Amino acid sequence: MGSLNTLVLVCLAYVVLLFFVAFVADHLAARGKSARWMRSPLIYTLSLSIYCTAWTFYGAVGNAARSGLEFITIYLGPTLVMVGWWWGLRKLVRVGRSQRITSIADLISARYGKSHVLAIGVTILAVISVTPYIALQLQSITLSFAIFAEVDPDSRFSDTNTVFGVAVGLAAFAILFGTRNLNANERHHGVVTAVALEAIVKLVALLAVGIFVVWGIGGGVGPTLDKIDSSPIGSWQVDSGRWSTLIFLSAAAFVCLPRMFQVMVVENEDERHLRTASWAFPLYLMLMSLFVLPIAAIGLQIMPESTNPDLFVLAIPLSLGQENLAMLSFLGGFSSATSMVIVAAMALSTMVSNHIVMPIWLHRQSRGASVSGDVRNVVLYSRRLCIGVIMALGYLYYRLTGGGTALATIGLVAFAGISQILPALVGGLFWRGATRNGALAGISVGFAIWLYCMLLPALGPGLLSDTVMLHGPWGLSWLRPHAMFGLDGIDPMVHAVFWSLSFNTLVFCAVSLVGFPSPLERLQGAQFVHVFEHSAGPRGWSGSVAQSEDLMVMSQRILGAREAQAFFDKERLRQGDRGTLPEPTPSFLERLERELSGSIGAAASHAMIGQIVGGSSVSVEDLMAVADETAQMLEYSNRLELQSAKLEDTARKLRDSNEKLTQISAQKDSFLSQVSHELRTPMTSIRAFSEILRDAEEMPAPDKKRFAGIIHDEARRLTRLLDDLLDLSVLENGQVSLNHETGDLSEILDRAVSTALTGAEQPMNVVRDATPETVMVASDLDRLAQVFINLIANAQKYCDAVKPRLIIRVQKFGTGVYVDFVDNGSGIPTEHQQTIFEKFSRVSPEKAGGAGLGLAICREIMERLGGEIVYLRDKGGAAFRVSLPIAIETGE
Amino acid sequence: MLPVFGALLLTLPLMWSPSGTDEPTWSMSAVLIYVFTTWVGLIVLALFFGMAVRRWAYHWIDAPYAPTDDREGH
Repeated sequence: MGSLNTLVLVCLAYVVLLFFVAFVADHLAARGKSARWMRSPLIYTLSLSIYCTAWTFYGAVGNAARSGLEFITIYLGPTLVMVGWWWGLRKLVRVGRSQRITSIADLISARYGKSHVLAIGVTILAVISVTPYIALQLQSITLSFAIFAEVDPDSRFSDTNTVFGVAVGLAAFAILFGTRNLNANERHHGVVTAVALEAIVKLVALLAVGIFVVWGIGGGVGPTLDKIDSSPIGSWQVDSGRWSTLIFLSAAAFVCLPRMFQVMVVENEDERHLRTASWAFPLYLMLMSLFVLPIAAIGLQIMPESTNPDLFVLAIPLSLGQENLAMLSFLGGFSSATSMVIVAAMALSTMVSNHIVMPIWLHRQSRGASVSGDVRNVVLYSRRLCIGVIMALGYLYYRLTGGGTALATIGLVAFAGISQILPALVGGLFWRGATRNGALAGISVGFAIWLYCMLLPALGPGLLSDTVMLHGPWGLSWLRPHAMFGLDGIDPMVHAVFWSLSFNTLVFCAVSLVGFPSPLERLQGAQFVHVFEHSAGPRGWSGSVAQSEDLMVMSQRILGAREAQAFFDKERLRQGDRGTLPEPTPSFLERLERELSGSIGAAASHAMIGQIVGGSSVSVEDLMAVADETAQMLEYSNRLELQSAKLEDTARKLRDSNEKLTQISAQKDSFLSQVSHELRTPMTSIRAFSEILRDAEEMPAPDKKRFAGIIHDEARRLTRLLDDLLDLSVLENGQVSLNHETGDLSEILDRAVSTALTGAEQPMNVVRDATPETVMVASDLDRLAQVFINLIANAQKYCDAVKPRLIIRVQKFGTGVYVDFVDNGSGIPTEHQQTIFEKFSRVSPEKAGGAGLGLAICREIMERLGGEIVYLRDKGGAAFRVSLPIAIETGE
Repeated sequence: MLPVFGALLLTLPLMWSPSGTDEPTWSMSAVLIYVFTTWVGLIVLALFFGMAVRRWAYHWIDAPYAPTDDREGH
């Protein structure tokens, strides 16, 4: 029986069937008649099953045969993630859909301010860590071919040729499937449907083998369990570190693996599918792993020692002559490998072409996007090329490692590598403070440690010498790849995952906290973290000058002529069917950008529209620049405001002084009239009485004496007035000569009080305290007494209390002494307080006979004496404070 | 809460692991049954949670870019 040939035929037939299914699905979807089942949550759930690769199919049994139940952790991790979908995956899917994310690199890049560097970094990381995984698929298919070849007597099986053939075949398969249409967001209905079919095939295959083993060989559930217990893996022994690390790692990889992201987020039709998948996918995983342990236990029991436990799934039915079951099982493994390779290659090629090839290509097309060649073809070719390159890398890896390593180990290397994205991803979704630099630094550090501790040692002894492994590079023992920082004696895998992810997270958080995100990052961060609050577009275009024709030309090149036309027509209708092309309104540009980003990635499409819309584009960065300018203007206007406040202040002062001047001028006027009056009244009486004296010849002597007395008094009054004026003028001109001497303050006050109150009808009560008054002052004592007399006389004159009382209080301060004169009257009205020390100022002209010069003279005197006289407010009555320097004890 | 609860349950078997001694340990079949029971339990809980969500958050999906219409899923 030509087993191997049959196998190849079956494979080909199976591939043709897959093609047919994919073609029909694509065809239906293109005609918009996609059946309901094609969009059902079931298909979504089944497509998620590309998580279960050939590693699951073959490797799980091998793993179980080697280390018992540990294999199950790989499925428990994703189960936990799915069960917690409401908290995590829902957000991820919503972000992916609202931002039109095309890959995990696109997501990270978009979150951190559309950073190209980050996108390239994640892409490279993904390519490097998925390569071993692809090698794994190649290996598993080759091994399964080999096991059929063993039983086929006349086969010309060659290991190398098979691997090469498988690689080429898978590449062709992926290219044909994955790059048929361009817009990654149009969703590959065909691929997804085919993957779903493959999911069923592998589940059925594994279940069939399991049922055969349990009931066909084991003899039922009970006996099989007994057999498990009596097998070499029958006792429960587990490394707790490995157990929990693996659960965590598989959960992380489930989210971060590019192919998982592709089916889970990019190909997601409807967020609500998650709800179904949250229980259906764990169920699928559970069914997939249900029979793994029985198969492993029974395989260990009945198969010869030499059989690779990784291939028990195939070898058991084959050795028992169950050709058809073996064939089904082979198809299951084949399905696992192909579906994984197709989706992984598709996802990776999207990433590579969007983030590495297209930016470089666009950069080289210096003439701008609208006049460059056909972008559509460039994108497709670059993707095809990428798939080829990725497969070649996988093949090379396989050749390099010699394909000897156990399947599960290779898979774990890939898992740990891709998990380095996790901190940046989770941080980006839940922490607004995460920055681009933080993500970049974290991923780089984690990647480096992973490379050093995990990938290089796994690649074989050629790359890291034994010396390095045992004693560390340059003899630095704390840098040993399997025992960094002296953390010795734990499993190398746990060790590498622990250090790489800890440092990754630590550096990510630290750099994020130290730095400050750029405006675009902050904006995108808000869009991501609060995606449920606002799923609106992330940025705005203003396209008043944008040329619709140019946009049309560009869109045709990227989307294809028909699709672009349809899109523009729809837009035109939306705008109300004016003209032949839609107006480039901001919302239209935004939609167009999102549409394009589905093909070429967010950053590239933003850049292309930016090129066409050109100067009139308003990107967020522009807006931020505008905002900065606004801030500057605000600052400027603040300064202006400050200056205008100062100006206003000055104006107010001017107004005040003007008011004062006006007041003074009015006072002067009133003074002049007062002076005239004052001068005129005595003058008149002097004239009148002197005329009487002159004309009356016979006048009694007493009358003559009385009249002469009046004339004398009036003349004295005139003299006093003129004296005052003269005094003031002398003081003001500084021509006064002061007679400085030292005297006792209390004596001066005694003299002043007695002088001021002499002749008063009702002398007011003066309250003094003798003790503080005994202080020596150095001054012109007569002038000082003049001031005091003036103040006391004023109090006597103006105090309107029923029982007028004046308190004279003396107190020392520093180098001087205050003499306060406070009466119990109603004080000086507020409006006069400012001007009482001015010349000619009188508070109540009708009451006092003075000319309003007294206080002005006092002020001038105090100035000359080096002291001061001020009016004290709110002291009850009128209150003046005279401050004057005291005599220096030793001096004069 | 479900994932945390599940994670706790699933790390429970670690405590049964013998710590280097030759004490009689749990048999593999017992652990196997325990793990799968937990698993099924989680699935059932997730199923109930999904149904609950359907009730109390009927309109939790309001994605403006959802290309599909609302005919399905309800």
